[in-house]
Amino acid sequence: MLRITRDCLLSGNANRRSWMALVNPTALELSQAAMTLDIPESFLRKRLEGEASRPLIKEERLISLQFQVPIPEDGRIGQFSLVPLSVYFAPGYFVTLADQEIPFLNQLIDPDKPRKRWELVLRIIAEVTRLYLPTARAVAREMAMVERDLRQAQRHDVVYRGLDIHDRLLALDLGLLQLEYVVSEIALLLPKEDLDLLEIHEDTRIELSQVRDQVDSDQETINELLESYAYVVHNNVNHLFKFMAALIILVTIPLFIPGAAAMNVPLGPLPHWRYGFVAVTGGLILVEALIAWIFYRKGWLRLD
Amino acid sequence: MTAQYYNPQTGTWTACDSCSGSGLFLLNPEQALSCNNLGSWLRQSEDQRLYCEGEEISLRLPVAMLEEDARFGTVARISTLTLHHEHPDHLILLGEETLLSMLKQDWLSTLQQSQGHDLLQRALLNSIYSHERVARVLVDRLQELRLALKTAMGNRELREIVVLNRDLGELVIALRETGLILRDALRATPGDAPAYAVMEIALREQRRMEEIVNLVYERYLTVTNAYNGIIQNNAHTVMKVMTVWLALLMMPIAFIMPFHMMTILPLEHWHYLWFGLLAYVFGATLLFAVWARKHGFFAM
Repeated sequence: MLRITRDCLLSGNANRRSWMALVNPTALELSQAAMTLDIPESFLRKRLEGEASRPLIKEERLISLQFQVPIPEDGRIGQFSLVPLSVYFAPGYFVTLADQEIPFLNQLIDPDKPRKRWELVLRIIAEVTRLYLPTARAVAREMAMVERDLRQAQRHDVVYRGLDIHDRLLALDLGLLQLEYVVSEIALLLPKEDLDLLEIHEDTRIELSQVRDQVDSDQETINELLESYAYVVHNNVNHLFKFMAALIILVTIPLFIPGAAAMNVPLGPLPHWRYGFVAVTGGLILVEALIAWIFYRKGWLRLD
Repeated sequence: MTAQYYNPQTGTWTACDSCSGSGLFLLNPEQALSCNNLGSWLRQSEDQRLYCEGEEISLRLPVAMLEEDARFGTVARISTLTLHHEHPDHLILLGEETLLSMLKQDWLSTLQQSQGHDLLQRALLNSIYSHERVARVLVDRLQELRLALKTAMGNRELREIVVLNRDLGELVIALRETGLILRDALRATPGDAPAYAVMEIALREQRRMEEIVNLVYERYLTVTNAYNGIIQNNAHTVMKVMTVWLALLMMPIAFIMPFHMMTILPLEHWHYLWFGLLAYVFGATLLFAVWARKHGFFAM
């Protein structure tokens, strides 16, 4: 989709510029935009695909910025996709390019209250930063669910869930790293006399740094815990081993107590004694009960 | 055929004997030997990774590539790309044939819009981004191997993971080397030379890419111990199931043992005692099996 809204923003010399929103554009829309903006189409396409490129480019007739916006997936807490958002300042236009609608752009870009270009960019970055925070928290909260399941887990599924959390936090961290780079590079382009703008920049930088610290700390925690998760799973399986070993000992006792009375040798009065069976079996049950009680007291016959 | 020259008018590559004049030239080491006027430059580039004299710059940069290894599957390989830049409109790239084809593929359809220092910048950024591209492929492969660990009992996957981790580390080292070369080149280039700005941009990108690849490398390296845990858990699970089968097989023997005794047995004159005893021992064992299954003793 290609949408143009007139007079949405103020350029460096206070001229009004139009906003060209390119959302999942078709090949035709992309070439139309490239022609209007006098930018190579391949440049726009590479940006749309999120290929490795400079996140901030300043040329004579073009300023280009790129960062990743975390968009939460509907109904799946902690799941998100990182959408590459490119922002361009070209003569007469302010352009946004993404393969899906970025929800907050319509609220930030208002033709009735046009903002200065760098103020708008910093507001967009601040909004993106604010999106990272709840996304990172939702991902980190999954650790609690993993830990709840860990108590009974005998298989490594919990470790895989931990690894998945690790990967998602790393993706967020890389997105924040790119954003941090853009913010630090923008500082060189801001007009030094505009104190309000410098303050917004400083606020955004601090907020970004705090979010990145939190994601880093969550990731370090999960990295450290993953090994422990694997040990907890081992321990759960070892509990079963312990239980089974105790059970096998109990099952082995009848092999020698009744076995002693089953030998094909003269057994004295036992074969003709009326209560022989009851006496030996009773003894066996007593021995079994005693050993089972000892095992239970020692915790060898408990599963939890 | 010797060197390949890019003709911006037609957008095609043509063969040429000499690498003098304006434009972009690609050549592999064998071609370079037979190309006129490159002898002294080749000798310099073999001895040193950086040569600067006025506007003339030669850089030998590490470039990351992928290759298939018979033992370890997809692995990274560091090749070198030598850039020789005499003046704004002249750039010679010297590298192995695979690397040159890769560059041509990357630049396909976009080269006509580039000129002068654009070409140098593209070549520098391409060598820097190659590490990130390879790192992405290695991470995808790492994730595949990680999933394969779910059922692995041996060490094959783990050995491949170790190789991939080492390759990621090599990428970080190669990027650091690129940074060192670019920093030295910046020191040796006059600040007003057009190539200075290009190398400054490249150095900033190198720092950013180094940070990204290093972060990915460190994060994936720290979770390697969890993979050991997964493999051990696979072996433990098999042992657990074997142990429960052992217990199950011993149970009928244990239950039947009292009826082996040479004593007067209860119900010994009952006609169906044998069937009754079998039903009793196997019934009791079956009850235990049901209980064990409920508690996950058989879960693989």
